[in-house]
Amino acid sequence: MSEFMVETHHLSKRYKKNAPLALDDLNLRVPRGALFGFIGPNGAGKTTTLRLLAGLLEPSSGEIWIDGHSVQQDPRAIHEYVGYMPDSFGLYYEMTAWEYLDFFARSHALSAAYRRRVVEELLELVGLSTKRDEEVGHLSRGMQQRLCLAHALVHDPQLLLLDEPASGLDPRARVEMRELLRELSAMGKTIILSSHILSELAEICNEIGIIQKGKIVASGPLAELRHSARPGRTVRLHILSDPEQALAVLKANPQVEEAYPLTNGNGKQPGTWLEAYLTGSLETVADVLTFVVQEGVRLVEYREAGNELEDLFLQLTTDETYEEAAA
Amino acid sequence: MSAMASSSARRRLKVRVNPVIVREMRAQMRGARAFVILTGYLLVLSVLTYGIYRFTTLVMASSYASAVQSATIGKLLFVSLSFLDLLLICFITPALTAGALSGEHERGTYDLLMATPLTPGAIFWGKFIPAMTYAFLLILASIPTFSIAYLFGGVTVRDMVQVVLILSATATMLGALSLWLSSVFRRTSRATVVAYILVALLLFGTLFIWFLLGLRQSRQADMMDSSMGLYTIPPYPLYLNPLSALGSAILGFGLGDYYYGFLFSLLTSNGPFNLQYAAGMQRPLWQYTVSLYAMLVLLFYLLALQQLKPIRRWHFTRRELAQSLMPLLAIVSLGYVTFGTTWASTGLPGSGTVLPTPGPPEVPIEVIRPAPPIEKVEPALDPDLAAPALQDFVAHKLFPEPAFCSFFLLEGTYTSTRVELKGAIYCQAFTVQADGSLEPGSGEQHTVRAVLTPQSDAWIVAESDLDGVDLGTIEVDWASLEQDVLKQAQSYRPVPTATVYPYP
Repeated sequence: MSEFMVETHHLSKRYKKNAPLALDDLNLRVPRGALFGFIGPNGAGKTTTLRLLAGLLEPSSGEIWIDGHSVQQDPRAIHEYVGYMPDSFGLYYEMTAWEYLDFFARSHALSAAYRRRVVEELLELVGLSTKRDEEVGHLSRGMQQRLCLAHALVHDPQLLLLDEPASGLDPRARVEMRELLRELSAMGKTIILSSHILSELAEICNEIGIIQKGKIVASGPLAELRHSARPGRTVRLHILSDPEQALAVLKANPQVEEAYPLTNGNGKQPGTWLEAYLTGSLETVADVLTFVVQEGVRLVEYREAGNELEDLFLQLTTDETYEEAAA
Repeated sequence: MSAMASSSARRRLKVRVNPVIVREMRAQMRGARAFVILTGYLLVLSVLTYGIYRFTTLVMASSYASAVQSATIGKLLFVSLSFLDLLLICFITPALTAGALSGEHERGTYDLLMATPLTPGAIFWGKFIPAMTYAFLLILASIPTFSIAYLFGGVTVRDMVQVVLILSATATMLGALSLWLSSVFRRTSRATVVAYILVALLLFGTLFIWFLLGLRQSRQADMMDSSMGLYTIPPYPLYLNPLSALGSAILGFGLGDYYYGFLFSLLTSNGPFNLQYAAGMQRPLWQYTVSLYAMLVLLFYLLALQQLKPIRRWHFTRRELAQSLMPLLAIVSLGYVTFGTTWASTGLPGSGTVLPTPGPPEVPIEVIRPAPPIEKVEPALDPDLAAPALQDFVAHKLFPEPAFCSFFLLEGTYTSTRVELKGAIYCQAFTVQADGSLEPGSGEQHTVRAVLTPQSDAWIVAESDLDGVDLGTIEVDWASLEQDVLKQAQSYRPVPTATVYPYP
């Protein structure tokens, strides 16, 4: 049993002879049990990678191992380990929800008794028990998406490949999908999901890979990536006292590298938001906060800035663009 | 890995129903589509049956002075219905499977299907069997409309079985063809269009090639007699034509001639849709067709298997090779059984024999007497197949050519167990005198009636108003006629030609 659920070696894919590489020398390692987020702009190669991993596409060169098994050797055996939910997922609209799941359960050669149980359990899991006998075509988009996710789970796969599982969902359905993924992750499954929406992934993934133009720009645990991009922390402070004075206090602290007022603070609320970039760990944050309060700044709220991943993404992908322009 | 172990335990299953079949069957009969097609199909068939019935009785009553026999109407109805049914099947079947796999692409379910451990074979048969079940349902449902033909008689159960066999073989081949196309193209519209183009080529392209072969041949041999040309055109293109197959199975009694003048000249004896005997053909044409179709189904299956592999197409694991071996062997052995004996007689490359090209004949008399093809018919042949040939045979035996007389067949009834002929021999130019010499111009007419029945390996004359006449060595009043005519003919310059009218 290998340590990594998914490993790729120098994976490349070219769709047509003279077309540019859709995937360029991809080396990917996803540890067992990870919730791996695959981020990249449209056309970066996310779907290509996932389809390659699912054994639905033939790599131009390179190799893929899933749980230590080579995909090229026997793609059909790989299908036992992998649950795949495509981006533009299709459904058999004229079937009822349970028939739909029953079909895939049969396809995985599950015995009749087990099949019946697993279909009910999955409908329960994705919250469609009440829609059991409803035709798939009559379900809402969110329900269809959950049903499609359920189809990928019928054979209890160790690895789930989900291509844009949250696309086209309303906020509520999005939250439900996120909860579902957390639940599945807690069940010990390795999940790889792709998205072009960063905040979505940042919230649930513990590992991410950033892909651009068929190349992995960065990958690893989220914290590590954050650290490597900007080895400090950005904090936001909501204060009621004079912002000028508070900024001065902040800048006086040696651990604060930068401090500036946020221009887009909420005008309805009294007080101001300041942002500061600190070097160091959570301890440092505590120190700085204590210092600020001791200096007489009236602090009401403190928050870590949320958009770091986006910054990171922009930083990494623009760097790439610049490099290319320079070259 | 305990989870995996337990999951493999759950998978122990003895008999497994193909899940794709279950899905397709569920989807197929749900909704109105299946019923609408079936109803429309039967409606078209019934309306046209009635139309053909009216038309047949009308035309036959006007074009033949004699009373129309019930059995003849029965046969005509049966033949028309069979052809109509075949055309409808050719039209419907591609639509049943052309969208089977491209539809999965269009719905976006193709990847879902590919991501399951289902084998390409399971997917192919899962799509193919339900579609064919439906096609067979259509064919079976059409059988009751044939019952009207039985009301009139003249049709045997064997005829019906042959028709159903040819219809099913055609449906199966077209279904497999369209399914393969559906695996090649990602759009149902494209697969459907290509399927219908191929169906049109099958129905008309083969016919066109056959005519071209005939043209080439007649130019090569400088043969003016088009009816002789038909016998010697290679029939191979027509092996693929379902209409020819059907015609060869049910039109064998010269029945097509009733259509002459008001339907197709294609249906006349030994026309492309009624090809009873042709160069190199060792058995009824439809048997070649059914065998070829079986081979094609297996071929399309093997081709579709490669298309249905998401990756590593045309790479074969040992297991896949073993699995492909059976269909391949079946194709080869079917081909050998069907064409093995025929091939040697074709003179085509690789057959080992070269057909002699017609050279200048030694005796001029033999030149202007083209050997009637019916002379080649062995008595051991299938009586159904031999019937029209037998008619010519009898006609020629009764009055050997060349001569200046004509034989008119007034009436002929043919079944597999009995052939009855009535005809008139009318000597326009000569009469035979008592001393055996020919005298020109009496215009004497004799009527002849003969009934033939098959014995173990030959047709014999059971009754005849020419007592003691053996058709093998006919001795009419004009016993030495042939000799005399030959002598007379040789003394003439140029050599006169014979006019023989086997048909009214």
